[in-house]
Amino acid sequence: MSEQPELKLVDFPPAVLARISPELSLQRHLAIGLRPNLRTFEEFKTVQINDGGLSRYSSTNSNNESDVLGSSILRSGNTTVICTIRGGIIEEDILGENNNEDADAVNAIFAKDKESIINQENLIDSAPIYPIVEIERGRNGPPTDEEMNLSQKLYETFLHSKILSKSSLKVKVGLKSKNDKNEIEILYNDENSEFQLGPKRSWNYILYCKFKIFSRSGPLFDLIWISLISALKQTKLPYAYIDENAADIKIPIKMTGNFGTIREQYAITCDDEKFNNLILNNEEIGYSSNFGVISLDKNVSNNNEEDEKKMEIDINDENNDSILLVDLEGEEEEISCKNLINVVVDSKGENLKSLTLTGNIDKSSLQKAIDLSKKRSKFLINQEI
Amino acid sequence: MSIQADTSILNRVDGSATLKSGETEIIVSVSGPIEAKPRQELPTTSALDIIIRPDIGISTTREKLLEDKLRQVLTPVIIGILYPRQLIQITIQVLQSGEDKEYTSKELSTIINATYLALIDSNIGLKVSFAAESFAISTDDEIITAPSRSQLKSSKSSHIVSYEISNGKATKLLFSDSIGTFSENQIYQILDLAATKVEETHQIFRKTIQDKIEKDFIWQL
Repeated sequence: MSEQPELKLVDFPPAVLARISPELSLQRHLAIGLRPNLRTFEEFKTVQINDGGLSRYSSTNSNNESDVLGSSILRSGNTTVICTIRGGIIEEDILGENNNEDADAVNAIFAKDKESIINQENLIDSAPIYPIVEIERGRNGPPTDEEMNLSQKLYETFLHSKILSKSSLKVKVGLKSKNDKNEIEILYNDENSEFQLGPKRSWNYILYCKFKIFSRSGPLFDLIWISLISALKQTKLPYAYIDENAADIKIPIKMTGNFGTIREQYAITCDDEKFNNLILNNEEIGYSSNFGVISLDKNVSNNNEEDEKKMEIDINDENNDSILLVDLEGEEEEISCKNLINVVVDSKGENLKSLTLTGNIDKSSLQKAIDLSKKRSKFLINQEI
Repeated sequence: MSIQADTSILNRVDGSATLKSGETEIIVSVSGPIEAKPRQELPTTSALDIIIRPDIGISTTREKLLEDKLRQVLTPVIIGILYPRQLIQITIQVLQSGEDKEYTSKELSTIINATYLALIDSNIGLKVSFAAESFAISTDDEIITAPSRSQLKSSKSSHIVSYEISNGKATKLLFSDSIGTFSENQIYQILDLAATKVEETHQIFRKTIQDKIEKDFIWQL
């Protein structure tokens, strides 16, 4: 007699099921009103943040040789984000009209509406930061797509949010010189307003920020945004001066064939001790939140009701099967949630700074998400992180 | 705004399209389904390889982010299950971006529309039609559809919205990206306005596709 083939039910422990069938695992969790990470649907992950003590101006840092101008260390769950801000000085491009006395006359004829166009530009005064994002995965190599996308998104959102003005990055250059008594002293603009140096030249700071992320467990933009804002709030810009002796200036020599060179070179040195706080446009600063919208699979929830004790599910809408999950975390949620919302708000929560919707988002979910992210942003601002 | 579209312009790829919409001009080629590298292969669906080349210079992270956004639009609409373990390669050349490099909304909306035409030209299976439109909000809170370069520059915020279209009606939201300063109500207005605008755009594309089919086949009565 041939034996009847017997199909055995295979039981998987939750961790294995989450790996091999993330969607089913998530649906089973949602059916009993829980998420795999044991948070409720609208519960944000807590965020702890402190000044990383990596900055040269940090009170807890003994290393005054550090070139870091601001830093922050953020912990959220298992994830750690380290943000360091460094700076550089670049010479500003000077428009011809500042150099040329005839420029006004020329512009009046050839570029009549030039002035009006420039003033209308929305981003004319917004300064960018230049981010590098590194997600540590235990291997070296070129940056991954996620890292590049994150840094670009951060760059664009920061620039368009107008958090940093170009004027707050201006370098007021001082001059290191010998005074009458043959003592070396450094003159700064703010102490001696009459002191003027090369009015036709000006310099700007540019800010680089580098993120190192350990134990990634979900979408990272929110965390990176928080750590960037926190680091920028602590960032100090050093005073900078030109050393009179180190300045290399060649005086133009005019020869008969109009042959000559002008070469000016200023070695700008940063002051060891004196610094200014970086001024941010606080009213533009808000925080970022992400959401996933997922529809409940009725079959999964029905099966569960039969063999498990019915737990209370906190879904209020009877006719709406879609659930808004806040602050996605873990493989299951990231794989299963195809519909995503990312919101960045401003400080008062009146306006939005950035909104990305992926997939079919219905209006009620969107309203709820915007509402929640405004509350979350207010909470974070009040926390003064 | 003027839209000029043409398909089957390249003869060494499976599908191609060019689209000029206002100041922005894009050319798209689609090769696929072709053999995927082992690294790219996905067991149950087709892999998407998207390459965007800018009008000036070499591609940077700006184009990478655009590629990622385009992938988010295309992944749900291409019937990947028809081409398991195969690759669909989409190459996009921006001929004229029509906007400053700080902005991407005009480029992205034109890229999405041009890719739609190129995918149709290449006979890749699509679940549903789709179209996109770009918007800007001016400093006096006026919503501008398909802004010009200077309007975009002076605007408070820029937006791009893409909808799925079936039977000529915009049904589901596919992708939306907004950046700048804008209110919650404005975003709802834009989402509603976008639904009607993409339907209009889709009507133009239907004509383009009709022309293409008339060209491609020999019809007999």
